[in-house]
Amino acid sequence: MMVFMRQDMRKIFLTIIILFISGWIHFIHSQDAFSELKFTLTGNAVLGGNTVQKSWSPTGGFGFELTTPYYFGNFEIGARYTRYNELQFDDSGFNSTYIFAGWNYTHYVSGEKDLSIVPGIRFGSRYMIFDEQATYRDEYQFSRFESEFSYEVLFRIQYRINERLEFYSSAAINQTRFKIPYAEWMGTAGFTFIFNTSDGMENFLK
Amino acid sequence: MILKVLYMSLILFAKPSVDRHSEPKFHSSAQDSIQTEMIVRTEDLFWDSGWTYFSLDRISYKVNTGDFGYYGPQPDYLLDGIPVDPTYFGMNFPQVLPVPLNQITEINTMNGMGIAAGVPYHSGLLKLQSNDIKDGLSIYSSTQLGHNSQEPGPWIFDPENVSPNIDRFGHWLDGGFSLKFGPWYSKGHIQRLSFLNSNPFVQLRIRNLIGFPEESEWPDGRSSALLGLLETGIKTDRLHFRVQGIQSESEDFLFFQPLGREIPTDLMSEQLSATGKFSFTENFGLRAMAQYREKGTGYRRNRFGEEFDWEKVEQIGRVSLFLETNSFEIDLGSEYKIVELEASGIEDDEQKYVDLFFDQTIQISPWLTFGSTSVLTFHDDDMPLQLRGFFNFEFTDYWSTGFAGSYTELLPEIANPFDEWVANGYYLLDQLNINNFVPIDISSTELSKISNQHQFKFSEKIKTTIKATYYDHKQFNIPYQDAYHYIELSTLPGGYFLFPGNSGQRLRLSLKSELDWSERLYQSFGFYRTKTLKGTPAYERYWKTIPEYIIRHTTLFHPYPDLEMRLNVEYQTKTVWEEYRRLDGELNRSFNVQFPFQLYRFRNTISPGVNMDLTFAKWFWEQRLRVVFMLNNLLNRDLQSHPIGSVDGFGYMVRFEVRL
Repeated sequence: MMVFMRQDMRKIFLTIIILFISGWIHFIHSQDAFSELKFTLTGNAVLGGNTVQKSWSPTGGFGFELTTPYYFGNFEIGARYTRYNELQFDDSGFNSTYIFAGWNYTHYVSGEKDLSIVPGIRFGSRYMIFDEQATYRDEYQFSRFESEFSYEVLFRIQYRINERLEFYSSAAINQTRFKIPYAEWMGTAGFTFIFNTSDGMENFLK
Repeated sequence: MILKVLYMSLILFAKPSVDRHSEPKFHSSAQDSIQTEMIVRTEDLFWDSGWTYFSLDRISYKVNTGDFGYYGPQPDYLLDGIPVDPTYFGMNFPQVLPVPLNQITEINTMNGMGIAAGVPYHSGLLKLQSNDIKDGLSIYSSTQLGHNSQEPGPWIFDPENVSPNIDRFGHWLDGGFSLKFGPWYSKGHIQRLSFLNSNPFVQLRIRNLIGFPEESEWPDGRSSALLGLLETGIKTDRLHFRVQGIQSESEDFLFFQPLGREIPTDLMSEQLSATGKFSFTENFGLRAMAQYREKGTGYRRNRFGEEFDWEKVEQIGRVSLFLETNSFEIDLGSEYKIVELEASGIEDDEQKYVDLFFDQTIQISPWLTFGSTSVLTFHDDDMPLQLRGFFNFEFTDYWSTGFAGSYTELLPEIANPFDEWVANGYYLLDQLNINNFVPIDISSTELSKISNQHQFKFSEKIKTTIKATYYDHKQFNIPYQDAYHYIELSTLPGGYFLFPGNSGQRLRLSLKSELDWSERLYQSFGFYRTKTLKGTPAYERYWKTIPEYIIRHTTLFHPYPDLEMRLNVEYQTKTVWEEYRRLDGELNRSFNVQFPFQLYRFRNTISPGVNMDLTFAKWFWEQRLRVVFMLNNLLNRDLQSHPIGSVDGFGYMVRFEVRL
């Protein structure tokens, strides 16, 4: 399984590098950087995953995102909470929060620029708090707190309802770099509220 | 000796086609210039040098500049024109450089011997430049942390925040200020560093060294350092006078090759420097520098009571006259050094050295440049000599070629300092129960080099440098020590030997292309091939620790003023470590109370490896804030640089900087 994980990881990172390189070609298509600030409230659900879901059952969660246009694509930061109930190992349920920063690119597929598809990448850390401390061999205490680097590649379909409101639905493949294979498909839907940034905020972001 | 000086002078001046130097000053060589503003890890300092390096903990390094291998003299460091020495027993600790990595704005590497800013160096130089001081008050701070990935997963066993296979860099915290009013300025930095290498197999070794089972005490093996710098000076067009003090203290694990593993050690250093550059005219002036440097090792508690018990004090005075015009540069000067050493078995040992040096570069015509460097050292009855010379022809605007030659004779105090101390009575090896076979009288090391370089400028944007260097080690002392397998501590030392009288020849080919596509995009490709042509058996075995082929690629991309990106890719061929042949195939295991328990098989051959690092830096608030984010080893391959070093997978580093 680890071999597959490593191969998957290599493929994902090679994809990121190709995106990184292909982005150079397009950088001349600049837009008005940091002109807007988008605040999104999301609901999420785990659509599928690997070994982790044999031992834990995820429930629906929620999150928020802050997004701003960059010269090319958009920058975002956000957090996503999900609860995982134990299927085995008593009292091993945990609360997970993924805190991330990312970049995505909006590609409009309608002439009116109301419908778009958005591929993107996110890097961050998954923080986990377990319900109880566990004991190994009746002797060694496990930690209740755990965190690890986590990244995901996402694809989103986005619809602009009016000047101040958007709706989107997305799917993301997430990997958290534990030694055991930890990967999951995450589905997310949310509403976005759009604000114009002040001059001071725009200068800060620049 | 006088005859030798005369003879070498004749060679230098009568046969310029062979013995004139290496790297022309008026034609920047590809190996002599890199600039980066995203130094995140200590090894980034060496990246563009073409040098090789290994590390057990990815913080401290042994460096091979090409001349003398890993156990030879390490490169010298020049920070803002002042020499600093972050090495202990041949191990480089760049983290105790007295300026935070994020404040370093420019790195230049020099190969071989030479003179830089009135300071002689023997085997490569790392010339570092920090941020310029701005008018008024400036303050800055940054914090950094990193992580080598692959924790066990949900529900880790973590009694002391140590989990298997996590390498935590940080938190590193630094801060500083600068004040400048007119010609006067002052600045200061303070840094607090912390590092925990808990690769399970390195942890086994480290925790068994510092753990006390009878007291149920198993410290986690963290390294930490506290260091600071204070400097004040006056800088005008004609005068630059500075006084600087630096101090560092750290609790560390010093890899000691003769033991075949680390020794828990406290490292301490203090350095006071006063330096002045006085320009009498626009082109002519005087450089003077006085330095007091104290370095020592302290006892860090461990089960075996191992300690270096070593302290070195250096008092150095340098003075030189310089003459710089558009067509020639001359530096003529002297260095006087008193080195006092106190160590187990050595008391009040005082050595005096006087160096006389002459460095000159002359542009005879627009197409011909000629230069030479001579350093003559007086020490007791010895007078070792170092010479180099070069000339460079610029055939066309697009093609130049250069021939260079050098002869280096290094005293054992420079080339094999540890062995020289042992020969003088330092009984560390006896305390460590290591049988040692070190000659009482150690010969100087002698190396001759010739090289030919071609530089092609295909356009304003594309430059390629090809260089071939032939090394003739006429007299080379090679240390050797077998490491034996011992499961609790990974290794036990065998007998330690210093094999004198080795000789051999090596060839190094390098090709470096720089593609300066635009202000936004820069790429470089480096290809390095080294080969041992022939030599004594110990000589051929020694150089097997250096990869025969190295390829390094860098892409720097600044798409917008507030965003920087860098991609580094490296490929190295295998290395073979004969000293660890007795470990080959043996089992190593993780620390006994860690979960999950892991087994690992030692190899004395390090496999070829590909590494890929990606770094992003985003500025905010009109370049007052910066976030730097580095992803290491993107392909998540198991990378290792030494048979008992940590095996690294994917990792990351993140740094936040504030400059006001």
